[in-house]
Amino acid sequence: MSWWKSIWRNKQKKSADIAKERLHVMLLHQRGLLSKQDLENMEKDLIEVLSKYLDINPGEIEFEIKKVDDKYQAISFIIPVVSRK
Amino acid sequence: MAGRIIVVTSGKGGVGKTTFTANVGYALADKGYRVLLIDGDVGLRNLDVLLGLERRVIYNIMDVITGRTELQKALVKDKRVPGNLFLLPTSQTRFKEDIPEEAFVNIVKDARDKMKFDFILIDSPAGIEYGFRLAARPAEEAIIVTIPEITAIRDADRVIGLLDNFGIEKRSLVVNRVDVAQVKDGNVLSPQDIAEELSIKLLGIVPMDSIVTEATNEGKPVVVIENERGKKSLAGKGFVSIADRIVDDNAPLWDPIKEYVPSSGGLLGFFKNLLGGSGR
Repeated sequence: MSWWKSIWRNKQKKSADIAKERLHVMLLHQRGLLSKQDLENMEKDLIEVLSKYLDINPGEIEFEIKKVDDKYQAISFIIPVVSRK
Repeated sequence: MAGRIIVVTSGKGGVGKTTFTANVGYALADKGYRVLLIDGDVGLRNLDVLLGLERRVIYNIMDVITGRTELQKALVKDKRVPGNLFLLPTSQTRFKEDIPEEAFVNIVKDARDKMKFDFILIDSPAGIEYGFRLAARPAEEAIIVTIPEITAIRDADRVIGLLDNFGIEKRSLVVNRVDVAQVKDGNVLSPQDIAEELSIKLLGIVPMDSIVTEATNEGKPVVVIENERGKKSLAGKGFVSIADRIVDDNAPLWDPIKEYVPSSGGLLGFFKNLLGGSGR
């Protein structure tokens, strides 16, 4: 991740918030709710589909998993687009 | 009502399990309950040291298991709370595997049923191996101690998962060594957030406090030092309020973060904040 992006993404984020996000993902893996392997495969599939239309940089993909409420989690992928194909 | 058998555990070492057991055990005894503390960390005996009882240990749990002495004679009495606080020391020379699960369970249940203890706290060793399983086996409740660091919290989650296998459903969380000012500043995870991530009841919060080091140095529970000085401490308040909540599920949670006021208030504090200081 380039420095300007890390500044942009973490501008509003306190250290404790970052810890909370990281912990959340670690616990999901640990509890077997979403394995690291599944997540990697998902990323690969997304890259394949999106690459049909867009020129993207796979090394810069990031994801976030957040608790929406007690029942639901939301996954979001941040995929930087280099250009249109 | 039958006495309650509670295992104190954490997964990760060095988060303050033994300190917690000594201090909350003492606070319960101080309230008038009969309390037995069992050192479950075979080979690495420490609970006696924290209570300042190390010179009074004669027998240990191995002597009871091998029949060298009776349970009653192996218990070390804490004379500061006569008749209320007892310690069953562990062996310093044996291995954890030397203690068979069944023998351990029998000793704990015997202590409760025949010696009429209200609370039996078993201080579990770190890790998730045999020592942890041994400590958890006789327990009906668990208190998980953690600190606000993601490695410790992740290990706590592992332990909570394992407690399912023991049928221990009543469990709650203590967040120890909380730097209240840092939580306020958003640099440290809040105890409430940690409990939410772990989906567990937050039993209590113990603020970071230098009195705990002094207590360890002197072999006196924090409450004892407070009484000597005639002055309350943040950690002491944490331990006592946790004891209250162990006794009564509905006792309120004491939240030092809500109560926190930066010590350098007023005009000076205003300028410090302006300059980006933490306001401490």
